Amino acid sequence: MKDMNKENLWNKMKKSKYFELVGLICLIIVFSGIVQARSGNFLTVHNLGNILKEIVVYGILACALAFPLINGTFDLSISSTSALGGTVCALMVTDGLYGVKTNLAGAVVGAVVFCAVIGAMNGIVVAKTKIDPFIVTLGTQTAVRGLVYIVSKNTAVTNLPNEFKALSKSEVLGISISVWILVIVFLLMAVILGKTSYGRKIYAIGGNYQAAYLSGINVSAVRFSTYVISGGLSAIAGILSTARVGSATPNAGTGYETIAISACAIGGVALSGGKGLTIGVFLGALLMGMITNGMNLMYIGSNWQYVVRGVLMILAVFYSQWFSRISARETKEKK
Amino acid sequence: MNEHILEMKNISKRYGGIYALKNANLSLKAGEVLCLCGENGAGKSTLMKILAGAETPSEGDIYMKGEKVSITKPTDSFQLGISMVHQELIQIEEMTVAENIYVGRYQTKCGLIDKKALRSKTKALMEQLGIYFEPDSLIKQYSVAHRQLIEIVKALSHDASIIIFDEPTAALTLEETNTLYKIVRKLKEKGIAVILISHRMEDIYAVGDRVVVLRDGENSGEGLVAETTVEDIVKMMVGRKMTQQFPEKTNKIGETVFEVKNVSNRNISNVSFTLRKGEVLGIAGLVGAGRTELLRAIFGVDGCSGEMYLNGRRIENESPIAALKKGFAFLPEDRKDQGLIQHQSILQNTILSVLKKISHFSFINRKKENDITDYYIDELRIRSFGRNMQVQRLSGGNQQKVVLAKCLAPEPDILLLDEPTRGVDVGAKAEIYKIINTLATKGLSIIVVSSEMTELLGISDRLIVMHEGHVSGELGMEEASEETIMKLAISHGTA
Repeated sequence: MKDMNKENLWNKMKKSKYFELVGLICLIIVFSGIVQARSGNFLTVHNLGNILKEIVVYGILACALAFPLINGTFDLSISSTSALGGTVCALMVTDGLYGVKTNLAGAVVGAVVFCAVIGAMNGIVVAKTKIDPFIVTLGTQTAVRGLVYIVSKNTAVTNLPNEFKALSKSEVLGISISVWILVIVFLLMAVILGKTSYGRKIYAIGGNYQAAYLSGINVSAVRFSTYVISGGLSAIAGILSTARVGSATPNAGTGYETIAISACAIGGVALSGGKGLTIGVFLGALLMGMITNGMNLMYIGSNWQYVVRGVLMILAVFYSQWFSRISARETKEKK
Repeated sequence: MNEHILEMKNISKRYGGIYALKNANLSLKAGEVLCLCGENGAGKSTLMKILAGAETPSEGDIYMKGEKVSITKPTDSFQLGISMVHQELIQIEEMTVAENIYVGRYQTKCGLIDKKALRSKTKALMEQLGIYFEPDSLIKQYSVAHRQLIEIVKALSHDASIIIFDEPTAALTLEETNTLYKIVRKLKEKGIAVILISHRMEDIYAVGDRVVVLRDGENSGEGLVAETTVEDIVKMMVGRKMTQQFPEKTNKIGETVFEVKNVSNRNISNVSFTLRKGEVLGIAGLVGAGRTELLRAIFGVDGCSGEMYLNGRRIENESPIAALKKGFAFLPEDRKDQGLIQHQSILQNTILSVLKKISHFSFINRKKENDITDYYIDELRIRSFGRNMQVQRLSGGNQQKVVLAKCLAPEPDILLLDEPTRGVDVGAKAEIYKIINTLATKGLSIIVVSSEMTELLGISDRLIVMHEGHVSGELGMEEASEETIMKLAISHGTA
């Protein structure tokens, strides 16, 4: 009875839903320590700002993926959709998309809506048929990539106006606009998933869609909506990628879906659905960025970066499972 | 002292500081049917998992035919001749009967699987038990009962001398249960020892030789079945005398609130009945009689033709969402697949059907959701470490109470309960009966589907019996007995 309080604190920590992230945080700290010791300028404000800038695109793509993933489905089409978003937006402010020309704000809205419609089509097929979402979105990934080439007529869209590039280059309060957008997206996602009834429905369906359906949750509608969100967010990622590079290339974002999957998996999103925290996805994306940045600082080539990234991903998932087992232990039912 | 083929001595199993088993002992003779009883969480499964090699004991020794053995993994257990027929059958659905029985041990000819030998060996084994399944048919087309029998054949193929059954009759119909009893007796004749984990007294008295009871991980008593009464067993299980399993009925029955007329779909035909306020209406019948399908049709899960009237007004439940809005709630028979989100918390499960009610502009009111959950944890006496505990860590009875909490949270008028006490221990069963009575007393109208006739007889105000999708009869409680129910359930009678 004496150390009741101490034990309670430990137990409370263990039972906290954030406990699983301890492993990931440890990995980030250890990795930062190593890079800092070897290069000396890893943990500077300037460099951390760089890392955040680097993770903007796949950070937002990870969010785009997290919605269907937590919902128990999948979306492989995010990379192509983001390329489409970037291209559409770039065209609308330069040569025009089949004659449609607007200012930047209009183009952004147009691109987001366009991609949300693509997401909606994914959503309809997934919600209304029994085709595996993996297959459905693998199909749209290819089809949408084709659309990008068609829309862009096989050429990169260049000569972007400066205000477009400013999305990445100019800063507000010393932080790049694109990073602000990243932060806003993550905050919104945290609120939606953590605080709203809609978020609860996403988790419930991902956890057990039959139970959710019998509890009066509109499974099809929620499934559909997660794809619309996914499409919209992919567009934002694509626009920011275009702004950063300074042009919209038709093969932009190729392979980014794997990075987004990695970030989600590292962050503790269960690929089987029903589980995953926004902060986890953020930390997952952050670790991916830190690896690239840190290894560049240590002059380690990109080939080895792939190796390290792969190994660390498996390690991170291992740790998160390990910690979730610890939190499960000893909290068996009292009798 | 070598007449025992198996002795488990002073077995303890700790998880952290908590004992799941504490100096548990168990011995078994050849050709004996030993019934292992105890409430959920008493340690029966843990003890059997240790024997099957799925768990290793923290302390204690296992002897087989007097020799000390070490079982650290499932293959050790197989090699010692111990097989387990699990409650949730682990079979490969897309493979045939014969392939499942010999999975991983195929006899080969020129490097290829010798299908002929496989088939004939399977047939020979089935002959020993007096059953037959086409060896080449896919396993997925068989019912749970048949799959269980196939699992027994598999145990025989391992030359098992000990077969463990984990609640084998929980999902079986009466007829299937009798078949299983017959098989168990055959195994016994062959000198195979059987350990039977079961909540059902019927099982114990039908086939058991000896009964061993565990409570809180310790042996709380044992005896020969012939010399032990049900009261004795219940007393050993719960540590107190359960004078009455069913509560005294206190509900008052009012006007008709719900009426079903000629409801039909693929599985049910022309079902009609009425339900009154504060009434508990039991639906009896064999598995496959269409009872679950009827509840699903009422709740709008499956479509149906026919008419439904709520308080005299015609209604249409086109989906569970619509049904919930009209004041219906449904507790499905399979809490693991349909009732609960296993890895989420008691709270997240409890508030599933009231998300709208507890949120303001879509934002969830934390206090409201906590209050609702705590209210039901308290009201239904859900034993847990608090509302944030994952439901998969609760015992069966407490899990069922969480499903019940989820159903009750929207404050329904009509409660549809499908097998509300399946896989629940005796103590929790009595509590659920009490809850049902309390709810009816509060004015809820309740339909209970159950395969346990004693249960239906104990809690219902009126019974309807179904047979092959029809209502084959309606019984008032004064005329209802196991015999009258059975007659209607088997034959297509008219009331």
